[in-house]
Amino acid sequence: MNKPFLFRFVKPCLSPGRAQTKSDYFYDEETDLVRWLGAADHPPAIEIEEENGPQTKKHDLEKGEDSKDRRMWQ
Amino acid sequence: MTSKKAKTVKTVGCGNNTIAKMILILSNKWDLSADFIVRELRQQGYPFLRLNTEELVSGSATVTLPHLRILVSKREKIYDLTKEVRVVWNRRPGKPYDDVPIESRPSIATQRFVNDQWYSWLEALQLLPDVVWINHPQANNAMENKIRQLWLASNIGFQIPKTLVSNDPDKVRTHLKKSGGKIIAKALYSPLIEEKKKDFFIFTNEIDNIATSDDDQIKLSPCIFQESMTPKVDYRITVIGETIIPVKIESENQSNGDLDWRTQKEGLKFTYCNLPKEIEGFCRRLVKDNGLLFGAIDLVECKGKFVFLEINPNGEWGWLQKPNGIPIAETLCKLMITCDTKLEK
Repeated sequence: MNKPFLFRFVKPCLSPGRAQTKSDYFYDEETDLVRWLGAADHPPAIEIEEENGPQTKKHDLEKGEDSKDRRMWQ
Repeated sequence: MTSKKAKTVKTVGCGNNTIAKMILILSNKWDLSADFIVRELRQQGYPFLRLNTEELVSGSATVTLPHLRILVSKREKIYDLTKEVRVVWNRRPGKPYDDVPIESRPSIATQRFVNDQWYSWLEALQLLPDVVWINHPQANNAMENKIRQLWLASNIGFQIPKTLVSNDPDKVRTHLKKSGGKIIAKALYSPLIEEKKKDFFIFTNEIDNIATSDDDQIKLSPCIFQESMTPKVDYRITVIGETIIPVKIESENQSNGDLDWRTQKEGLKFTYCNLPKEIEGFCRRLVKDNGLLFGAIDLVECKGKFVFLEINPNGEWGWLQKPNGIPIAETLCKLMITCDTKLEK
């Protein structure tokens, strides 16, 4: 069976799962924020300069990173 | 910005806990865009419940009928969503096995079964009375269809590229010829290919030839073939309720001719800009007339005209917020609170 026409343009993504969970981040249940273990006060990932937090698939490919990947659920 | 003056919230008893009316966030725990909203709502002292739906399997989730009640647990608390929620932000609900390493997951069939059961359970949230959805799942799903988007945008008055969506090689060749020997090809649906060991992604590509040896591949699945919009300037317009946030995307390296700016990792500049009033109006209408409160629209400016490419009804925006200071979270929170407050009256 042939592959679809567009498959000739595929680029491999870096991460195999939905989320590439870095070990230096954790989800803080108390504040509902992802936090960074790299500083003593565990600042929220969204407040760290130059740090983008745990990234999802395609992040090695795409600037406008979209974690959706599929429709909402499918 | 919305006033930080504390809102008087009604409280209702729920189990052993007393909780205020709240905004429900449906997402997953690694969704950093949700973190921006969480931080903003907390700074404003506004009550919310973040449900990372991939974690529902470790708690309790119950619907009772005929007197509808929808109950979920989080951190030892029980929330009666039927009574306590007026606004739902349908962001990025996670699936049960998202956080389970691939090698530890059950068979695809089992995963699908479990996912489907949870999907149906979450669909019941659409029964919540007097709730504003950002965006309602049905409106959101309908707008994900790229053919529908182009048709609706064109009906509103947007200029769109001449488009063929087909699996017919001869029609593609004719389209290519009529388009000056150059067209772009892109996926009609999700361009993500999930293989067992690795995933792949397909960006927009330009083609200038369809060989007869390509025919069987073209026939296999329809895809979008459009006239190429080059040279161009890209725009991302985020529509939040009635608010328009237009951002111009400029490359420091104009010579590389990237068709799809997303592939350019460095050297991109995102600047807040103004759009012609007519184009702003089209953007608002496309979102509002189709039952949405949020939409991320991609436009290009080509030969002096603004051309609609697509709308992402639940598009990503964290990459604009953080490094570029575009106030999307603040605007979105303002909308959520406004919707919540209106319903309270």
